[in-house]
Amino acid sequence: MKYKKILFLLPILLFFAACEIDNYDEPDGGIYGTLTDNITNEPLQSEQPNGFNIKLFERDGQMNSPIIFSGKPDGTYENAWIFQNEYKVLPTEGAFFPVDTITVNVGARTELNFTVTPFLAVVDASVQPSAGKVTASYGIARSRVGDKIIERKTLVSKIPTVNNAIYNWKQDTNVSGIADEALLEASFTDEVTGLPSGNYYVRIAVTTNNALKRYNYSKVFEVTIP
Amino acid sequence: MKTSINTCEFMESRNKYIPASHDYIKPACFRKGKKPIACIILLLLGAGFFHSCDSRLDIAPINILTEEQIFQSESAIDAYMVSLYDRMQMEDLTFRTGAGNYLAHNTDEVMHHFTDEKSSIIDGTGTQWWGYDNVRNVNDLMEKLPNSILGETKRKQVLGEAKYIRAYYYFSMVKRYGGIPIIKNVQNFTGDNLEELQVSRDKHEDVYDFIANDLDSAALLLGETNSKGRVNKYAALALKSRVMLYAASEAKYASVQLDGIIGIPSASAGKYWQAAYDAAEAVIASGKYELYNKNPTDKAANFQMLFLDENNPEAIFSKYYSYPDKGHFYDMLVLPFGVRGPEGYGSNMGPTLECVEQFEYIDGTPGTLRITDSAGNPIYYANPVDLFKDKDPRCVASIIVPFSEWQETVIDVQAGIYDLGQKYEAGDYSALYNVETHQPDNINGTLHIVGLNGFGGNEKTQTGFYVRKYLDVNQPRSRATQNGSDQAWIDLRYGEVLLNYAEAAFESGRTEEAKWAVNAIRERAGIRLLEDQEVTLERIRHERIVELAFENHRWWDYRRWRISDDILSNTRFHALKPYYDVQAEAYRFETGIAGRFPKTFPVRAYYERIDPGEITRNPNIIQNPNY
Repeated sequence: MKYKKILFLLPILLFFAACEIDNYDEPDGGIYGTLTDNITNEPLQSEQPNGFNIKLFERDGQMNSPIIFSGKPDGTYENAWIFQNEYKVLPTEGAFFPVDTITVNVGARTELNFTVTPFLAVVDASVQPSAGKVTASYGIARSRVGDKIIERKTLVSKIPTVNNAIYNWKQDTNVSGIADEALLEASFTDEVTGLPSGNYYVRIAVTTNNALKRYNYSKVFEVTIP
Repeated sequence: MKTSINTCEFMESRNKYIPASHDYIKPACFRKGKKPIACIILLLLGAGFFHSCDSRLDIAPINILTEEQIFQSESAIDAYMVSLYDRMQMEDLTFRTGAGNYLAHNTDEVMHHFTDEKSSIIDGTGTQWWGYDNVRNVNDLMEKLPNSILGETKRKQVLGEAKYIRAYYYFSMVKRYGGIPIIKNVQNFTGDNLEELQVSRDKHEDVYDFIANDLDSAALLLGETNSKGRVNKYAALALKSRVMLYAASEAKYASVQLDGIIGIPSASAGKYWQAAYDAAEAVIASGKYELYNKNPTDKAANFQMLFLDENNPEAIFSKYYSYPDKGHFYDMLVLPFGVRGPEGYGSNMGPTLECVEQFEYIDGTPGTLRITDSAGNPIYYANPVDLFKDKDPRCVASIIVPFSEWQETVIDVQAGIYDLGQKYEAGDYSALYNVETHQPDNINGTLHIVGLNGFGGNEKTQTGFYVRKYLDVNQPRSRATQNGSDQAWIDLRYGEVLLNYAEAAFESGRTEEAKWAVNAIRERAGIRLLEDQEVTLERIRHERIVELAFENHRWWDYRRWRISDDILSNTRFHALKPYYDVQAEAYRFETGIAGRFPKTFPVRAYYERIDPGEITRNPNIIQNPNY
């Protein structure tokens, strides 16, 4: 009978033998920051999802895929679940010219800001609601010559995340036939009509013929149609 | 025999990992009060196990051919080719994207009866095909072929087919991902050559050149004919005209990114238009194929049978099915609700009103349906099919329009009733209307408010239309099951070659040739031919999307022309709703929004996402932008 007991005890012993904490600590580092548009000196207006991406390349992680995550529509980004280590950080795939990586030591919550040169910027934007319509007026600016300016538009949505793919009404104009110089000097007025009364979110978007067809946006205007 | 081998391995592994196990057994056997004889029997049995590990029994499985055996028999090589053919990623009658949609769901062609199309477009992962396992198999075949038993002629033919198949594999990948690693030889892992195996992506242009090269070799090696279901010289040329069209569009309409891993310099566009033109012209000049026109008096029936008649002078390369060994489910998924198969699941493809209106009228005027007069009042049709009377015959041949017939059953998609100027709709076919009392009345009513096939309840079209193209009109309804259909898929047809030719000709400044090819298509279709000044890029593209509707070209065509994101930008598509007017005893039509969600094509999906798993295995693979 003794033998049987041993036989039963052995597996239990095995269980206990495995009860040692041998796991890694979970990631306890974080990085956050803002992309500032160098024309308006405001945070870069973007869209969600995937308005721009942040790529992190971890030191000694040559065999790892880079950590890629999306920025937020207001031009900020944050990843609060990475290991504390040295990283190269690259904002990319947004409506701005390529920037250089910055190497940073990420601690518990490290701030890292970038200044970017957007393809275009919407300037002097204002939005006027009136009965059944909104009127947006704005201009286009740029600080560096890139691809041809091809489109401008005003988007109206019932939800705050208004962007190129999320809208209920729009007024868009193809400007690919007009010289860039003329466009940069002009000021524009768009009228979006046919709106029932209620609360709306309005945004102006302009784009160049860039490879990923990224739009540069104004900030979101919240308006009430009487 | 196999079992005993396995047992050996099992015993060996037991011994390896639990070395103490015998120590436990022994005392159990020999402990007090037990007869040693039992132990001896046990030991003998154990010995029996070990005995079977004799090397005399270590023979090759008798039900699997080894590679050496394959290459020593012509019929075995033929059988081996079947699997290589079968692994070609054709966008055929069974090809559906990750979300279970056909490619046509991801364009302006059709709406599903319930699925949210957005989900399969948005992530850029809907049509993944990373086929390097298949590439390895065909490379392996090419390497071993010289040592096979095949005679010179047959060896040339098989090598030609292998080149074609490899080109097809690569084309499937390049049109999805852009530049990808070109692997021409079998890679072998020797234990320390990992870095050598971790190849990088080749340039987009180089991949297209590689494919063109393979197809050129295939065209030289292959004969003018081949047995059923296998490629010949003209299949290689026809495919080349398609591939080169894609390359040229990439060069002309897309930008170069990632140092040429995706995108082709615009300077190369000219050479690819020329290559597409030359390949198509070689097929045309051969005179081996012609547009299907067996029934020139009934153009609609003619166009419908083009896809069903297996004795077809237009088909250059087809994939055949055979019931019940290898069938497919196209009819099951596509048939209208009221005539669906015994297992259900019908009505998957409802063409949008936009798609229907793309078909012109016979006189060449734009295809907008005449549902209201100039003052905006509804036009009444006593026979609702008359709405489509003067449309391009391809319209009713490709689409089951409201109240047209399928196998002598009228497909009734009535959306409601007008009585005394008041509109009545219902959510279910069983809802009835009483014309005496002018009220919905499920007890004494005599008129169904909605048709059996539309607008009300699940599994009905959301647009008022169903697809007709490729549905097998001769197949009994009972066969519309998971595995019941066996009509062939025409992967390459002469009509497409003419359209490839027209596009390549126009893009390279040969308007006259473009006009000839487009008019050949229009003449067969039965609509007015184009005049000189009408031959524009827009008309040529329009002809292509109409002729090839639901043939899984449009998704790729819109992509290569870089117009997907314009066409699908938060876009809602429309339905055509027929209402029966009790007083007029005729039908009137209205339009409405179809489906629950808009469709949006994200710009990043012009190149699909490479599976992150591949990048983990090989860090030299660069991901496409924005994933």
